Amino acid sequence: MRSPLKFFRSRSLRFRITLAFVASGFLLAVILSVATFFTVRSFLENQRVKASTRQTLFGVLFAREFFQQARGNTEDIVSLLQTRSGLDAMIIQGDQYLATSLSLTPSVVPKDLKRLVANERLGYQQTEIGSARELAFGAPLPAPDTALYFFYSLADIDKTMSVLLRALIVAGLAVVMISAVLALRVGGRILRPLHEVSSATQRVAEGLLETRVYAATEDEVGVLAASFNEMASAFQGMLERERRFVANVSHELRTPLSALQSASELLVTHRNDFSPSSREAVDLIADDVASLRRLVEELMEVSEVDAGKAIIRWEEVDLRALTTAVVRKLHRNAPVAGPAVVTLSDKARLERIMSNLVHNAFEHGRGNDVHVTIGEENGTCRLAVSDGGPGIPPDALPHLFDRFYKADRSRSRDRGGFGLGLAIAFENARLLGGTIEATSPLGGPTTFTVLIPRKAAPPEETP
Amino acid sequence: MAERILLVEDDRRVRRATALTLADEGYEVLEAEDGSSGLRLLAERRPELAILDVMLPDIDGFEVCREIRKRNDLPIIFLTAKTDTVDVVVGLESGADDYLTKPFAPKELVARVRALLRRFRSEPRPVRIQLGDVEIDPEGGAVRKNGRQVSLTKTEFNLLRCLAERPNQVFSRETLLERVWGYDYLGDSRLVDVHVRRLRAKIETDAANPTVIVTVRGLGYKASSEP
Repeated sequence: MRSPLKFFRSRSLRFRITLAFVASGFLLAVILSVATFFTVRSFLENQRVKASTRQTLFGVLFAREFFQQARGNTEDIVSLLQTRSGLDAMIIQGDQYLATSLSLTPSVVPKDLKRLVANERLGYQQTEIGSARELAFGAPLPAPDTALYFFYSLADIDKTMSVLLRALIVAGLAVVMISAVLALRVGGRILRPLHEVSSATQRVAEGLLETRVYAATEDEVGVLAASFNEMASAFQGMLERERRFVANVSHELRTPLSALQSASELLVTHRNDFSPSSREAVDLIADDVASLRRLVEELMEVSEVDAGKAIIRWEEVDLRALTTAVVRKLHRNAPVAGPAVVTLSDKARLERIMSNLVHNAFEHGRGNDVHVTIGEENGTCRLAVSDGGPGIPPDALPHLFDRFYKADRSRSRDRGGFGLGLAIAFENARLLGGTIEATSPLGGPTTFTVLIPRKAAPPEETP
Repeated sequence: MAERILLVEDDRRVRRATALTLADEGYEVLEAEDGSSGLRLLAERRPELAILDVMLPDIDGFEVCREIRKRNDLPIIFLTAKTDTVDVVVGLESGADDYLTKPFAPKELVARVRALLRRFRSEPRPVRIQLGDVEIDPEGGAVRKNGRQVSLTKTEFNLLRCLAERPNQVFSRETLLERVWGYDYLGDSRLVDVHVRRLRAKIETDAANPTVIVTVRGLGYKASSEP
């Protein structure tokens, strides 16, 4: 069972704000209504008591005077009181009583009032006749065990109060509803920047580091937006510095490595002049220099793409001719099937992609059963490079295009195996508006499929 | 006799390593560390080919290239740091025949040098071709426009001859790369475009509206026999 508090906390902020608004609106409405109701009622009743007291006093004075003149003829007094003042009155004398109305009996007189009057005092108390509230006033008359009572109806006050009550309920409901609407709007307004920050965070996480949040206000929300922007640019700057560092290091390594490679290749040409052990040393140096140079080249390429400095040169490319040339350049033997598809693209980048994929297929596939299939459908060019197995473990598939990722760690020392080739191929495909997909049934052949849009005109004029 | 190659490169390590590689291939290498000493060596020793770095301490490689072209048609290869920059186009516009991106594989450089020198040595078959007001006399490689001699570099001449030998046949950029430069499909088509532009500047009456070397949109170029 979840506690109510936990339930409340797990709801959305907007829900909680609305609930808080509605709850306080409701509470306020109830307090105001109750206060209004009772204040008005006690005021009206007090007014009524004052007026009734005055009437009663006149009635009592009149009755006493008359009582003395009439020598105790109560019947006359009652009928006189009724005709003269129109009041509901009752005279109780011992066990007998006389009243202006049939509904008036001694039982409607509260006991406390009776006792008060019995003690020769004047007083009033609330009572009920039938189901209606009445004010009962009592006064002793100058005869033994004789009392005069007047009754004033409170029905009109009750009626007024019930009308007021209905009005208060309607007003209260309106307050609750208005507060709900207000809460939804205010909540939305407060939360909109939060939503913006949240979706901006998402975008930053997806790699769009130039994402910024705009805040019109300078309140807490504005501060949040400002701190977010600060964080994003700090993050961006950090990555930028890191990228520049990689680019600078690669650039500085380039020239000496280039010279080293020339020199070492020269030594390899003359390897037969050396003793067997020197020969091995020369081969080792040449191999490592060559692979180091490739690493630096690939790092340069990656940092160029990262810096957004990659330029695309659109020109007509025959995908089959290009692939055939790539295979030939790699000194490999792989059949290229499919029609001659011509599209506008960047020849050098496509060469990079296909060269890396074909090279990869030969390096990591079993045997030499590599083949390329070219096709075009619905405006998308497909270049599929398949090897002869043994496939890639499913848990490695999503990471194939990660930098420095190696699916097969035992082969990490292979020639050229830095784990950058596929990442570079992927980045280049992305630059051309396409993507690369990899499928690898367990134990079966792995297929890398390059999907690029077939273009008839460049997206925009290149300088 | 060993062919002489002028190598202008300011980075000592790269220059020495490249020179060693070329020397090992049997070429005589004239090394210069800046543009002015390169031009001096060119005048004194008359090399058969020049390799120029774009970034030089005194005069930049493009300027050296333009200077060489004023008096000489020897093949020029220039070295540039990046392939995507305008450097490539500027370098080719200033008269170079080919380029290599640094860092280059030594074998690649040797292959380019060899291909260029071979093409420059080859004696053209003696055929006389007339294209409008342009007359090609492969004997001695002379090209005349309206009877006046036009001086072309060897690459420009080879390009013109390749097109002119089969008038009105359309050559794709790839085919021209293969025939004139010895590249396969993966060569840089800018080589063709820039050389065509340079050639037009020399033989067309109005280079903006070419009538001798015509662009066939989406396909390539052809030499037009129509006047």
